Amino acid sequence: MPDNAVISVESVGISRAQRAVLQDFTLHISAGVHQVIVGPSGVGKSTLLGLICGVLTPQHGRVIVFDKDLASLNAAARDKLRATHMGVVFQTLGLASALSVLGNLSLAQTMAGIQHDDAFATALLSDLGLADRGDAKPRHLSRGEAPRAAIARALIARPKLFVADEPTASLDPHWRDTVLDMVFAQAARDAMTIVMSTHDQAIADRFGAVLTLPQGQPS
Amino acid sequence: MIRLVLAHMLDRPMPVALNTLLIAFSGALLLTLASLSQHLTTRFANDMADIDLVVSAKGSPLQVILSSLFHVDVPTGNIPLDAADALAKDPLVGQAIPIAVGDRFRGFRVVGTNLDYLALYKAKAQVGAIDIAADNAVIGAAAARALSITIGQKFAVTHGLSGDGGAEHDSHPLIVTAILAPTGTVLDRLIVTSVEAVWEAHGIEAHGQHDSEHVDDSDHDHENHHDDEDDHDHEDNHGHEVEDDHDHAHHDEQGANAQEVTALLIRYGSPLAAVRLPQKINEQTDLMSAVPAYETARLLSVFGIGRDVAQLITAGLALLGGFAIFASLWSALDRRETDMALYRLLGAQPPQLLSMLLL
Repeated sequence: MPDNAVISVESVGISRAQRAVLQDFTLHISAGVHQVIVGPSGVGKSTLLGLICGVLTPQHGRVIVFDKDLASLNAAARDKLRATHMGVVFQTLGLASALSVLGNLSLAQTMAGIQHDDAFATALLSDLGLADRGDAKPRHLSRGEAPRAAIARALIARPKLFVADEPTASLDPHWRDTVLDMVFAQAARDAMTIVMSTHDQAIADRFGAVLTLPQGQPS
Repeated sequence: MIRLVLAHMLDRPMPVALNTLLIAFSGALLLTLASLSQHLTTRFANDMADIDLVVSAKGSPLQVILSSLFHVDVPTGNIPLDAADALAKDPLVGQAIPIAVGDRFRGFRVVGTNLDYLALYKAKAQVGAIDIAADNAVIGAAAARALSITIGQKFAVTHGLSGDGGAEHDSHPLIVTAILAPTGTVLDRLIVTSVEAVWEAHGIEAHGQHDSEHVDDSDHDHENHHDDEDDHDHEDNHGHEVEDDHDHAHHDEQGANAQEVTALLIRYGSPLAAVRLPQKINEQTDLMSAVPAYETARLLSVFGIGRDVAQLITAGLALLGGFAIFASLWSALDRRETDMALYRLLGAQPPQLLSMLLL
């Protein structure tokens, strides 16, 4: 395991629905790296992100994130680590339906245990074109707005690690580029590590490190 | 976290309101039943006021207790004053309080007795001064409230304990001297005067020598007598309709003008009296004794059946409520599975998740 790796996936094997998704898979991601994972559907991109987030547990091998072997942590501790160190955008977005957009941002700050920064929240929403959508419930957001709200929530706590599963899939090119610009800007400002999956080669081209699955090895 | 829970509640107000109502209704029902049961037992105990024995004319012991202690039934008959006096002198008797009932005023019973009866219930005047000598009367708190009666007011009582009819004893009105403070007992619903006032209302002359404070002092012969029950047919029945079939032949034997009381409320003079006095009265006199504690227990056991049924129904309702709550929780869990997973992903800890599920 490299000294400066914030993520180490070591000899991991995992099967889902009785199908081996990753076998003897190894990946190290250093602090500050912008890592993109590309590949066709079903090759294990989301599974890999799930392992890194501690949402999934490998049958073999181990996953170490921020020097913590996730298998050694109980579920609550893994959840806590995720809340305090990671900003995650799920494929399903996972916005809390009972809360407004601002409420979702506020919840993420609460879970991370940080002071609420309303100015930062407003600025984030404004940069993502959601300035007037702060009070809207997720069910009232359009297909283009909801991913941006989820990205804002992932960034609000200024995480050390940004993990996103195809966050720009439903965005038009303008917002796709704007979102990426924002994420890269925050990564530069806060020394944030990025791990993102995508189908979009245009996005992959902007990343310094590209992992193509199913080869199973970093390029 | 509270804000999050509130947000969830506001996001689905109808199920939250219905569940809250359901839980509140089930809880209220259980508490009400428990409270009613407790209230009934306490009320009986208060109304009994440490009376050990009630002596009355032969009949149903339960009826004697109901009519003479709780004032909810008609008496079994009357007992001659001389018999009451003789009994009061028995060394086994610690205290004997006579009561004479048979009249009412706008639905509230008039009880002829002495000051000892008021002392039994620790009666205190809320307005006026307690005086039940001669035609003076004091009014129980609930009765006074319902009657809107005032101190010094005169009123004519009506013959009979219940019903709409009955002749008014216009010639012997009672005078209100006090309105009693609430006692939480049957006294609150009574109008209390002297035994003599009851007699005089019925045309029985109460000679000056008689003092109803001490029933054993009385040995008078009176011209006329009325049964104190409205429901009996009397020789001088004031034109009333009878409501029950009691045949008080003893009235005729003793003469219609004899002084009588409805019952004697007795406190034992010694522990031995509990064993010997009831038996002695029942076997050696024409009187009958009824033990309030025993009769009340019997009555409560009868009520107990109804209470058990009510408890069963309530328990069933509570069970249904419990099932409904469980179903609601299950549904909430099902509905919020995604939310819960999401909150876990965001870092929510088990207690926070549980509070969200329950609320």
